This record gives sequence, structure tokens and C-alpha cells, in this order.
Amino acid sequence: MAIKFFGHYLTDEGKLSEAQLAEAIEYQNKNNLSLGQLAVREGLITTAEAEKINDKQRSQDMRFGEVALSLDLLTDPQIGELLTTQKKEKIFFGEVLVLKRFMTEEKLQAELKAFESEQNIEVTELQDKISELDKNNLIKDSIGVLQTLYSRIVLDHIKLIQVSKSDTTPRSGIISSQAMHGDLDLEFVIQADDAVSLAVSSKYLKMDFDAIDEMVVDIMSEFVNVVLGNIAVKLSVGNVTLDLKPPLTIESSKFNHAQYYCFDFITTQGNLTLYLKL
Amino acid sequence: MKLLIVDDAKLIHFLVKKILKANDLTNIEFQDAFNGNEAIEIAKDFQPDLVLLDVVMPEKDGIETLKILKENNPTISVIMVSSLGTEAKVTEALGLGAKAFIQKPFDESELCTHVKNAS
Repeated sequence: MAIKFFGHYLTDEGKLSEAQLAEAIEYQNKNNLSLGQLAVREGLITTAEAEKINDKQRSQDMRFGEVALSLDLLTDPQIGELLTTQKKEKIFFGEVLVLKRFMTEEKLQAELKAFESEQNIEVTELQDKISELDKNNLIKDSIGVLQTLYSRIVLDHIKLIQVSKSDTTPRSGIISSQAMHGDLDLEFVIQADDAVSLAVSSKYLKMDFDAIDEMVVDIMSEFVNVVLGNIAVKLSVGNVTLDLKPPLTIESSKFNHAQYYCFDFITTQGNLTLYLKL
Repeated sequence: MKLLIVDDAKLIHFLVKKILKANDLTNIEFQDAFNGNEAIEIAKDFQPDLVLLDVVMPEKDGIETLKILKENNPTISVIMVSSLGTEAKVTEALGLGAKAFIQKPFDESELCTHVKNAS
């Protein structure tokens, strides 16, 4: 079973046409405004000032709000207000479908339920698969620590939905990797949808990230480092000696995912895949 | 107060400064090092009051760096900040003279308390 978004599930099931899917996504993109667009709309800054902030933002590791503050174009309360408005006005995919009358609210709820059930493999089946593969509780502990830390950092739900071996289905997003060596050897790789990477980054630095940049890539490496370090701590009880190599970011073209055990998770923000090589 | 941050992840330098600033710990002169060798060189001239030192780094790791920092200046205050808080690493670092070991992900208050105590 391949991991998929709700929109693609609906088109695959014939519940939504490709044109409707494209229209819904376009509507969402057009209406979910960036902080800069909101500030212009609210008359707090001009378009030229927004562009000036964006230019500076691109050349430095700073967020929109921070640059606006440093240039005295926005105040702290105004930025707080804009972030609240942005959150309040955010339109979710399902809402667009109802708004565009592609389906009724009742139908949407029924389809969401069906989607969730398709994405779910029975927990017992997953546990059986993991037990077959596991040695020294490496996988069990890795999954447990990843889920705990993701929930703690992002304040979001994360759920394991698929376990596979030598999976060749490419996923999307930043790929961060780190190796553990010593009494146990493990290569630990996380590939996260952009939306997940942005959510991790925003929560990690308590700042608004709305595009993938160098800092987000850095944060995902650090996230892997934090997760694997905590896995090592868990595994090290009982005189197991473990060490970590520094984390790396891997280009997707150079990542051969077929060599790994693959664990797919679903979160409210999007999908995240854990690859393990034992 | 002079604070040397040693971590190969750029974001940790950014995060530490952001947290300290947000908690009104503003009277701090910062220096950044991104690996152990750099930290050792910078510490000679900068003479930091406190070093926040990562463990897992390229070139020279935090434990090796700690040894040399302590050899060069036995009274230097070093706090390890790492995700790799295994019992062996913590014991080794404290045995080499680190004041504390903060496990990542760290709480803001934990970091601020240590920095305040070193001021």
C-alpha cells in the first residue's frame, strides 16, 4: 500500500476529478497567504516594503517577522496579530472541497473516515512485521523515540501506518541521515514531506517558516541527531557502547532507499518516512 | 560575560542566542565555533567564561575538545550540550571536568539557569 494524500486518494477512488483536485489546490495556495501578503493586505506595509523584507530574508538566516522588526517596518504585537490571523484564515483541503461544492460536509467526513481506514494497517500486523525484523529492540526503540520526540517538538500526532522492506516507492522531501556505531551498528534516515519539515522547524525555533531553506535543512539534520542520540541513550542501558557520526543531508538522487527497512508515518502535517539499515 | 558556542549545527548557535535574548540574558559576548579544532583556537584568545560544547562533531568531537580545553585552561567552565547523553558519555565528560551535561532537546529554562550560574 502506498502512502498518499487525501486529494490523491479521492482522485484514485473516482470521487474527485483531476481538474477539481488542481482547482482545489490552486484555491488553497491562493488563499493561504504568507505573512508578507497579509501585512500588505492589512495595510501595515507596502508591496515594496514586503519585497525589501523578502530580499533581506533570502540573503540571511532570518524569518519574515524578524527582518520586519529589524527594519522597523512591523512591531512585535503586529507580527503576533498577523500570525494569529494567518492561522485563523488557513483553509484546509477538505474545507475547499465543501466550499467549491465538490462534495457535501457529510460526504467529506465519510470520505475522511474511509481514507483513514485505508491508510491504517492493523496494529497487530505491523507489530508482527517489526518483531520479524527486530534485533536488540533497535526498531521498536527507534520508532518509539521518534514518535515521542516528534510529538513533543511539533505538538502533533504521529502514527506508524506501514512497514516494508526494500521498498522502491520514492517519497518526497528533505533526506537527513546519521550513523550509529559501536556495539550496535545502525544507519538512521528520515525523509519528511516539506510541510512536516516546516512544522518541525517552526516549532523547533518558535518561528514562522513557510519555505524550505538552508535553515530548515539544518533543523531536519538536527532533528535526526536529537532522535538518534536519544535512541542511543535508550539502547545504551546495559553497558552497550554506542557512538554517533555527525548527521548528513542526502540528495534524493543519491539515496538508494531499496537498501533500507522502511517505516511510513502519517502526521497532521503530512508524511514522514524512517529508513533503517541494520 | 563571554560565551563560546561550539556546535557543527548552525541552528544551535542561532537557537541558543535567541533563547538567551528572549530570557533577558543580553549582556553576553558571543563567539561561534563549528568544530573542536576551531573551538580550541578561539578559546585561547577569547578566554570564555562559559563554553557550550556539542559532543558529536566532525574533525574533533566534543570529548576530545573538552580534554584539550581543560589542558589549556583547567579553570574553564564547559557545559556539554548533546543528544548523545548516554551514561558512558556523561560520566566521561563530567570526569574530564565538564560542569554539566544538557541532553537535547533541551528546555529553555535549563539552558538559562546554567548560563546565569556561569555569569
